[in-house]
Amino acid sequence: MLELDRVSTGYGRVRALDTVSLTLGAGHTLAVLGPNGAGKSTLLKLVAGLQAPWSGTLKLDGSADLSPLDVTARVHRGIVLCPEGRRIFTTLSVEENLCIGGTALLARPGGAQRMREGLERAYSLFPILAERRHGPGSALSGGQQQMLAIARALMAEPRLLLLDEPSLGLSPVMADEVYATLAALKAEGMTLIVVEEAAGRPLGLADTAMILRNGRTVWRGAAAAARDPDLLQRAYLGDHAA
Amino acid sequence: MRRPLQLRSDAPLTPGGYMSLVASGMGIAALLALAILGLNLATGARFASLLTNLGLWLIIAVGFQVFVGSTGTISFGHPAFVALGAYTGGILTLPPAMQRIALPDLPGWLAGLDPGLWPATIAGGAVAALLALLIGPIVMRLTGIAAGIMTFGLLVIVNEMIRAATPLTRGNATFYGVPRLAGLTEVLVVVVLVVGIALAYKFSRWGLRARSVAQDPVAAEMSGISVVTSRLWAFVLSAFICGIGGALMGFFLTAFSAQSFYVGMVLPMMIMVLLGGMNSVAGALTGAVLLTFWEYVMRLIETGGMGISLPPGLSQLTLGAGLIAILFFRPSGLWGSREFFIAPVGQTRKGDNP
Amino acid sequence: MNLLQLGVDGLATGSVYMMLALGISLVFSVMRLVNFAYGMIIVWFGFMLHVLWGTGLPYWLCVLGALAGTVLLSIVLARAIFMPFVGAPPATLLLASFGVAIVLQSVAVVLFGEPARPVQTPQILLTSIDTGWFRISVLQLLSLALGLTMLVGLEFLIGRTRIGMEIRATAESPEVARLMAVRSDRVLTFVFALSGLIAGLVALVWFAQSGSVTARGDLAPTLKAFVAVVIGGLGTIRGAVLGGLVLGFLETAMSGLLVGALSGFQQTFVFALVILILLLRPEGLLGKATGGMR
Ligand SMILES: Nc1ncnc2c1ncn2[C@@H]1O[C@H](COP(=O)(O)OP(=O)(O)OP(=O)(O)O)[C@@H](O)[C@H]1O
Ligand SMILES: [Mg+2]
Repeated sequence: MLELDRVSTGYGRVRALDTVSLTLGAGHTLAVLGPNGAGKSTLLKLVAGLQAPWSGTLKLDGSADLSPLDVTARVHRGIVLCPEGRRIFTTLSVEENLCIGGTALLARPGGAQRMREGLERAYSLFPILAERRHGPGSALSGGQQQMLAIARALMAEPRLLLLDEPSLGLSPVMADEVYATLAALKAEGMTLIVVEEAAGRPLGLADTAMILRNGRTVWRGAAAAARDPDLLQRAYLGDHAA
Repeated sequence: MRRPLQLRSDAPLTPGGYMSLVASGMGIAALLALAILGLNLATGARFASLLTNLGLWLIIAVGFQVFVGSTGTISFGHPAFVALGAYTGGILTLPPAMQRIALPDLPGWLAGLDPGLWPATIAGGAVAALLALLIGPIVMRLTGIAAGIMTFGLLVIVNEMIRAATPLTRGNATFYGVPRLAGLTEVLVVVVLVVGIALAYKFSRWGLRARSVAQDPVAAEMSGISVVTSRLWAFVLSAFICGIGGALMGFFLTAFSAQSFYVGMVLPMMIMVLLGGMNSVAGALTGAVLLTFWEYVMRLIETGGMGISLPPGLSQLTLGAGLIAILFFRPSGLWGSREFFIAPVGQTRKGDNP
Repeated sequence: MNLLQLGVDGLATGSVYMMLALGISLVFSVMRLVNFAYGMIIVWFGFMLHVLWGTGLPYWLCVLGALAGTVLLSIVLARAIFMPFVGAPPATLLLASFGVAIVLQSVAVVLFGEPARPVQTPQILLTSIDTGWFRISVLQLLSLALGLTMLVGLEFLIGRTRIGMEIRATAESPEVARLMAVRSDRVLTFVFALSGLIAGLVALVWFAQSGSVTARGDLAPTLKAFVAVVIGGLGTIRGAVLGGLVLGFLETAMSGLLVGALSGFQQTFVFALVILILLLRPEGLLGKATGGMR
């Protein structure tokens, strides 16, 4: 579904990703792990179109080159990013947040109908959002905001959902709840890339995993194999593992 | 492209480097001044008034740059300082006979002082600096948009005050009869001095503080630098230089009105500083030279002096369009934050932000 | 002067200033641009009305034409100049709009020269009604009606419609809105069109009062708008309303109070008040740095 071939990028003169490659099949889940500043968010921004590659290629569905597509066009192709720190619209109501999330639908046939269906699905997935639908986004708790952020991303009917640290700042219970939702999405056949700093939950969810450090891939393989604490420690601290 | 108008603080230098920096900056300003003088001689003083005008703009642009460059804040208010300089210098030096005609209601203690060129010029700068010192503590709290709007307000207020203070300024009428105390040579001497002052400030502890505040106010505050105070000194010094420029302008023009120092003056000042690079004294000089020349050519064209005749308003049009183009294509100006100084290799650009 | 009269005059003037502030604030909310060229857009409405009137068309058609022209001008400026600057720091945007103002002004000078041009106003607008308690002109009534309609209309548009929602989302966070496939260029174009329409409507009242337009007449409306938004707080409807009304009442009260030698200091007093407000509340009375235009 998604293929990155030796992609590098950065900010100004600072290189944030160095010749990173990955392939992700449809319906699969990839966990991207690594310490602060490893380039995890940069990788997602690159796929979402917020960040242009310096070199290397990005391909969607085997052939289509992603580089010429801007963020909006990628949303229309089904690539949706749920950004780090949730970034919900605090001045909009919960329902308005969802409606903004569904903007891409409006350009398609039957858009209004699909928007209604999307809202219904969001509310059945997260009943708490239905209760708060007319309240402002700012009135939600951290966990509820994360749910809203995921629900908002789902409104665009993604095929490939990119999640940047979805459990950041959540209580363990809340984090488990978020990952239960992600597991349900995976079961529906959605392709996911989950970025986290802590390895536990994403590795339980993912099929494959990669570990980044200083913009380089230090390890890549089956998610199950990454659960070796020794490997993780070496990868994070830098005593070579690859 | 379209990077923010960001500030780069050049390397803090060793004391020796600091002195050689200021001296070489002044040296180059002196070369520029000599070139202008030479040009004046070579053309038989046919362009004396254009060249003097250029000198005055050099002073004002450097004064403006001191503020903009060290605080990263734009100001629409600086023509007010130029105005204060011009009026102060004019009032002080008006010959007694002229004072009785032009300013019959002048308060007695201001009448008949006649301190001469240099004291009157300094007084012009001092009055401008005093105003900056009074309002600075308020205005310097603000940055960005709010500062822009407030300095614009300052311009309006000072303009209104000048118009209303008829006994001192003749109100809306033209202020005339100022003796022509300054010519090309005097102006150019001041240019060299002012460049020295600006560079000495820029690389002094106070200048570096102001620039570090501009770069990162929070970090500066945390390392014990007072945001308001450090910006205030840049504001006061800048007002002082602009006031001096204003006084000299008055001595050169001999007649002016409140309208001469109003919104219309903002545009050339802004372009001079932005074109050359708002972080650079060298940039301000370059900008003033280019713009003065350009306005001269445009005025020639508009008055039909070059065989073609274009409607008035066109030169203003080129300036407005030019401002937009600079902001879009080269927001850091021609020079960026570079200065033209000669310093031993390795002594500049090492170390970094304080 | 009786208080009731002062209240009526203040409200009518305040209504005009509120509209001015709304036009500036709307654009600021979505792209952090304080539009210095706003006053020139108003001036251009005056010139368009002047030119259209010269063709002999009926007054209402001239007004419609000039309104359409103003909206178009605002859109063209947005797409050709302002939108390429999206993402630049606010100070750069402010300066760029200063450049735009200069360009618009010099084009006006080239086309129409410096002297004032008459702007036609139907006599009916200038008649005034004496209710016994206070006097009110038809023009003042029109200002009040326009202001009220605009307020209700904007509240509805921003608060209840799809485009309003997109405007609020863009105002709060342009990057995230873009991530959600919100077409920010369309949102911005729409907002500039709206701001142009508001400018045109204010201009109608503005020039009916003065009866003529000059190429350098942009300073007054721009100043009023700036002061109003600074008082109330930039980027919100409430701020624009409050700032406009406060400024309107203030000026009305001062023109009654400041007589003789003091009458030349009206702007000075206004700005002194603005400074005081900014000292106490740097974001304006109702200001908040970001947030969605409500
Ligand atoms: N907008 C930016 N401008 C400049 N440098 C940036 C920017 N965003 C990230 N970087 C740099 O790029 C590198 C990678 O950043 P990135 O945000 O991708 O890391 P991350 O793995 O997501 O870290 P975290 O766990 O803290 O979210 C870092 O060195 C960071 O400092
Ligand atoms: Mg990150």
